[in-house]
Amino acid sequence: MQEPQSVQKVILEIVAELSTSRPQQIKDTDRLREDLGLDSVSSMEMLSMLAERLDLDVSLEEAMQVNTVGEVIALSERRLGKA
Amino acid sequence: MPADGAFDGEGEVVQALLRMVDGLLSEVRPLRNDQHSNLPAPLLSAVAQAGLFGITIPERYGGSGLTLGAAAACVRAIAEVDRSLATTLGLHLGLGTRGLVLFGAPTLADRYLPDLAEGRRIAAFAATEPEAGSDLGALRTRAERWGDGWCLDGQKIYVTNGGWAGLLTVAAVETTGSPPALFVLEPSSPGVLIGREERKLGLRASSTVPISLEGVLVDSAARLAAPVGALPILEQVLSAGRTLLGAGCCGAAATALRLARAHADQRRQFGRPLIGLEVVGREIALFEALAAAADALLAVTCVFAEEPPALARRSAALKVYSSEVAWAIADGAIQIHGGLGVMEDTGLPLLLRDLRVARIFEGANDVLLTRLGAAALTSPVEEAAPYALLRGAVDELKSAHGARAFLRHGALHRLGRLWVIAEAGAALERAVQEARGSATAGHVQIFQAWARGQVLRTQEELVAMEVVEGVLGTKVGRGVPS
Ligand SMILES: Cc1cc2nc3c(=O)[nH]c(=O)nc-3n(C[C@H](O)[C@H](O)[C@H](O)COP(=O)(O)OP(=O)(O)OC[C@H]3O[C@@H](n4cnc5c(N)ncnc54)[C@H](O)[C@@H]3O)c2cc1C
Repeated sequence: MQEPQSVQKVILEIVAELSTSRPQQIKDTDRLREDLGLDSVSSMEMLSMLAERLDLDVSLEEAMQVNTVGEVIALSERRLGKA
Repeated sequence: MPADGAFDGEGEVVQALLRMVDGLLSEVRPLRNDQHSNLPAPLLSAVAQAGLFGITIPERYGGSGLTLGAAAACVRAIAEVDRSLATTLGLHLGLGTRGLVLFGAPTLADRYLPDLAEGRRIAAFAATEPEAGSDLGALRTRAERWGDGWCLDGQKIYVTNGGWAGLLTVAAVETTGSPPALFVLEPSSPGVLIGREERKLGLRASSTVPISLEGVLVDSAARLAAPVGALPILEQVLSAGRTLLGAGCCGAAATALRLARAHADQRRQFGRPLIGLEVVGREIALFEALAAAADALLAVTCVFAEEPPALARRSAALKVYSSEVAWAIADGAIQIHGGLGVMEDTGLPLLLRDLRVARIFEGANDVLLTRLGAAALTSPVEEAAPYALLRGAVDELKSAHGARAFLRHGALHRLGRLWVIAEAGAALERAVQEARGSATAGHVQIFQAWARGQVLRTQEELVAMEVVEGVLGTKVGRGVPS
């Protein structure tokens, strides 16, 4: 099981891979679409990569409700039983 | 194209334009242009004199201020005769000038649009680079701040119209990984080097060159910008380009169909005309239905010309569907002609060669299909009957993989194909209901039967994909192409 610290790191790396921001510039309050410039397909793709790397079960409906980086982290931690 | 379809309020103007195009086309010699790998200067002058380079340029700049639908009607008509000329004009009206018309600063528009409208300058568009084709996120051409303006450096390849262009729109990035911006510049600017004409399989009479930019200075107005929150500028420009490319494919499909039909009516074997043989008769009936759906999809796409997100989706579907259908019909027309089909004088080999690249440029079909498949997972799928199969496949993929479905690029690609078929089917049904164009209820029935076959094939492909994955190890992709 991943430590929260590393979960956050993985998330920031994936977000940075798909958007044009560097991990250290990304804040929890950043909105995926408006602030990080991910369109609906790439923001969903980000969640799928996360599910793959952290081996999470996330439904598409749940994923579509996520708006900010903080919500991505919270969802992942819930699925990993951390929160 | 169903000239009564896409451009309400412009019907008469478009009819007049098409009559003019008809007159002009009687002078065009596509086989000779192909052999000489060039469009004669008098032909380009005649196109300019007819005002065709200015169809979509606002009237205040000397153009006709017509819609994308009007441009599509002209490009379609020209492609029936000469795809190289259609590509030259379509590129100018779409990728070449759309960005400047929509987002050019007034000084830039004043400087260039009058010349572009009159065809004194022909427009080209340069995005592709040696290391960035389908993946435009990998563009390396840099735009760096230089005083008040910008300095551009990079290599562009496969630039249509590049050899005779009077204006270039160039995609460049300001910092590594930033979304591409578009810059307008003159090919005669210091630092712009136009390379040698490429020798191609088809569209040989159109110009395709590499262009290098070495320290090219442009002023600040040269950068085109879409308003904040709007669909990215590159996407908007590509949507117009794909619509006109689709129009060209519809024209090419119409010619292939006409030639196939005429030959099948006239050629006799086994004591009857070929059309009387079941296999040939069925094939031609299918081609007629597929071509009618392509025209219907073109008309629907043009209706969304002023709605960027809807146009992006429809134009991608149109580009894929029309290029595939045109290819299939051109290939089928050759088959129906037998040995005669490979003789250059029929015009069929040229048609086929010209059409091959349509499945590659302005977004390779595989890339667009994967993208459409991904969009199908996030967008509400429409209620109309042709979308039922797409809805079923989307639900299956979602329940099998949840959010991870986005990493199954093979499945997304097939989903994209279902979407394209559904869009074409819905457009065809709508055309029949609204009694537009030449679509008939018979076309709808034949299309539906064909679509069912395609769906079964897609389902089998998905099963086969699982087997292949079993052999290769599960492959998940990343980076759904944008
Ligand atoms: C005659 C001609 C005229 C052109 N005119 C212009 C122009 O005016 N301006 C301009 O900017 N560009 C132009 N192009 C470039 C054209 O748009 C590119 O060739 C096209 O986008 C594909 O890029 P590529 O050739 O680098 O192929 P690659 O990106 O190397 O792709 C090769 C193949 O790989 C497959 N593929 C790649 N990525 C994916 C994916 N994610 N999913 C599934 N399959 C994939 C596809 O089958 C694709 O055909 C022109 C090209 C030609 C041949």
